[in-house]
Amino acid sequence: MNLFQIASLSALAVALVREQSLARRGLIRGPVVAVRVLAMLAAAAAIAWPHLTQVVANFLGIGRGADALLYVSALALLFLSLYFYARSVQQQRRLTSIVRHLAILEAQRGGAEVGDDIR
Amino acid sequence: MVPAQTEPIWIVVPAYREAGRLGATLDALCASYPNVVVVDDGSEDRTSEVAAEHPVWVLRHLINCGQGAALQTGIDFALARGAGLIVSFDADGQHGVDDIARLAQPVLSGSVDIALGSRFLGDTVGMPWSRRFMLKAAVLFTRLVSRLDVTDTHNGLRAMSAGAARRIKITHDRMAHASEILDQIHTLGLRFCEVPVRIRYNEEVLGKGQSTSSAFRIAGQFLFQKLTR
Repeated sequence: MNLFQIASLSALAVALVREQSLARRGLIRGPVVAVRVLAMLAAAAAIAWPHLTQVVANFLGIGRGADALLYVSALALLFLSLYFYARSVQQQRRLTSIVRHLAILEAQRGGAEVGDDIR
Repeated sequence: MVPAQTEPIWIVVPAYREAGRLGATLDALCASYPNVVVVDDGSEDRTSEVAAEHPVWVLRHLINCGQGAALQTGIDFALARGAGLIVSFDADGQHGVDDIARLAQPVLSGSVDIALGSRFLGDTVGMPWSRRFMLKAAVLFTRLVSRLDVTDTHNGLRAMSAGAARRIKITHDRMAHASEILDQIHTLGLRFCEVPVRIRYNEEVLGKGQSTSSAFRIAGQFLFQKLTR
């Protein structure tokens, strides 16, 4: 096992322990934990046994293990981009609803009736 | 001419950084319509102060959320105050107060739920060809995506009944809300018509308007949220 493998697998082991801790405290939900743990285990397997990527590539008919990794990474990146964009839109909507609620609560009548509020 | 008001007409004016132009717009509106609500969308300039100098309701977003969010805020407020008909009206002076009566008439008569202003059925003053091209492309986009047979899109001048305003929910905070409203008209099966209106362009209006690149961004945002709804 080379230095890169030792460092990467150690980092992944720490991340897995942290994942378990977060899940136990209820900070992340079941499906999210499952996807992240699976991704980490797959990464660990690919690092510990590099020839596995070639086996997967052959199974998928891609050719080289490095290409299979590249394609999977590109797809994962695309998925993550869309996921975080959707989350960002969701957060934006929540923020907007608060801003809109406050604006209506603090409505003021202008002109001659300054100070007259909605209540 | 102001139409016979069997239903209280409320004018909703979303405004962002409009301190320089809002005064004239409100002067014209307040001369004919008593129920005007200005939603200052988190402007850093004197937009709220200018609005407060007029006999209008002034609502202020603490942060800039976008025209769609400001419009929905104004609509919710107007409905809560008993609006029977709601007209959206741009703050920058590109719309004419005289067009409001023409827009309100078919809604007040009950023949439609929403009347949409169309600059291509009416006329425009000072519209450059690039803007005309962009808007025509937007009309084509709306016809394809929302399956709504309209001649204009992204026109801020529209009138809707209280019932229609309650059913339409604007979720696109920024400029894509205009496409969303058209999309919801089709989805909700609302009755609509187009009414000829006049839009006046000048350098300031054009400077603040949508660029070609932002048109693509708006279309992208609208499509993405439509697909992931």
